[in-house]
Amino acid sequence: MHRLKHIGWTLIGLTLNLATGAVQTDVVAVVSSKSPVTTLSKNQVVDIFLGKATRFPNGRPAVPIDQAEGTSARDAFYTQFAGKSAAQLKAHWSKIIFTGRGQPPKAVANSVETKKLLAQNPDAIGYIDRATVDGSVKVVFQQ
Amino acid sequence: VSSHPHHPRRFRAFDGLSSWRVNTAAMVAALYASGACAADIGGVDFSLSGFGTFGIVHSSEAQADFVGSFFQPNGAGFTHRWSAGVDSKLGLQVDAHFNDRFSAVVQVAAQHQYDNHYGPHLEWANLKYQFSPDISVRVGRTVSPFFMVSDSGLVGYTLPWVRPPLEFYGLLPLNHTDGIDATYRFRFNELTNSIRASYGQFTTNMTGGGEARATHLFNISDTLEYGSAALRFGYLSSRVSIRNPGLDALFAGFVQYGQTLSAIPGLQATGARALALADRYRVSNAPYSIITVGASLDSGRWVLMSEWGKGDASAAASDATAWYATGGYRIGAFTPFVTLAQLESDKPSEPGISITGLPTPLAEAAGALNGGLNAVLNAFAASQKSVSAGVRWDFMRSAALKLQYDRLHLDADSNGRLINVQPGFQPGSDVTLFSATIDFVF
Repeated sequence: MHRLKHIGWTLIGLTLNLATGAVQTDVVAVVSSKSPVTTLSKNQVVDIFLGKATRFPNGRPAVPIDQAEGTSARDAFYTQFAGKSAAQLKAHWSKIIFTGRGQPPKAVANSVETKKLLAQNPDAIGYIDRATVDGSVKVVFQQ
Repeated sequence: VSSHPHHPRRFRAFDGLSSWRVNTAAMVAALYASGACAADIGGVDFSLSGFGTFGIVHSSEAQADFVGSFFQPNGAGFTHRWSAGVDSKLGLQVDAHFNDRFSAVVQVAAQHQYDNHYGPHLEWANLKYQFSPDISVRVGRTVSPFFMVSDSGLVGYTLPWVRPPLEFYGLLPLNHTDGIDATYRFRFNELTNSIRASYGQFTTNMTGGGEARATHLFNISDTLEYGSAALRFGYLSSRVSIRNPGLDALFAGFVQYGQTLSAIPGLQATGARALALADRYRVSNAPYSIITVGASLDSGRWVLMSEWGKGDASAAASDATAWYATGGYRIGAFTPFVTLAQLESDKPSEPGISITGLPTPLAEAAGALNGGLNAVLNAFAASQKSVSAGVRWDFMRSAALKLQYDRLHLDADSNGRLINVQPGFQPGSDVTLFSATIDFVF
């Protein structure tokens, strides 16, 4: 009985996932393991990636690293963390670019490339597929 | 510094026009080659971006034109049944990032203008110095952030509507100023506060051979943001001068009439009155100020925006109060929305030159001057309200289709924001607009 119920919930969950478009990638926000930053709130992470915050709470400059447009990690990060679809994110950055107030974060191809950049810069912050977390990075926020 | 291999090339870009052309060609080639919108040329980070809107509008009012900006000579209704000039535009922007502190922006935009052409004009050209991540100063031609979305008002893709509500955004129809602006941003906890101040001036040609000039343009605004919510307060003050053949002829007429009568015994008081009216209403260095309050929420599902503003005018311009409120709800790629907007102007009650007791020819001349003055005061005192409903469809990445229906109600003695009003126009009528646009960015 219990087992049946569990299967039922799984099916409902699966259906909902399919209904919303795709099974979401599980992403986490990370910094270099050498960074002094240990933990951030969701709003703090999102504000850094949306260009609203230029520093970590400890005062150090924050350098966000995006993943390329169309990658599942990027879509998952912005929908789950910021509640923004790819189109909303595009509109957000268009507003900032066309007011001369800035440019979106530099984007790299995937989670592995993100980790490479984080290793070079202790001020950088990125998001990667949870499955790719290793000793070179530190998770500062997860859903 | 000279040992750095990149620097000599960077400076050569400014040696002359020919090398600038070479660099531009190199840049364009680099952009195509990389397939991206960013390039590193001689150590300077360039990025190229663009925006555009293709739109058509239909107006139910055949006796007047609906226009998208104060500076368009004609639009939908009288001149065209369907007008593409109201909303269509194209813009290109190059950002140059010289180093961590210095950057520059040049933006060129083409849209329907006062001369009935779509010729490109320089929208922005400024140099930015970033003192720290929180403080920056820009010098040159910069965007004028008078209202909440006026700084990206040309970029339809960033807006929920086909165009910003004209009732409110017409309070000051300028997109840029020549001068200096400074931004100071700071955070406490998860709140971001941005203070922006600017000082400058702007001169623009108007339809019909006129010129509008805003000088001593001082603007300050404070924006408080928390997550996806924002609250904004703004104040601006300026001196406005408007010259065009019609206005100049009218006030010259008052002056001539006043001087003539001042020389005739018994009519000096009437003459002085005519001269005083010319001084009172001539739009020359006239103080104009606006205070605004705005709020917005752009969460995953909801888009809510509202602004309220009060303009304090002088000369022939009227004091005015304007506001709008918009609500939209995202359903997948579709965002249906509704908007209410209103503009109310306090037209000064002006009896003009008193004609009682004047000999007939003088009374007739005074009547014509009074009629002209009244028409000018009316033209400055637009009052209208509107209800709009529409939908935005984000049909692909970087492009959106919008359909919008507007119902404008013009006040009984006002032409609202309509222009080219024909004799057959019925004051106080309702006007129905239908607009379709495709907005894109790249």
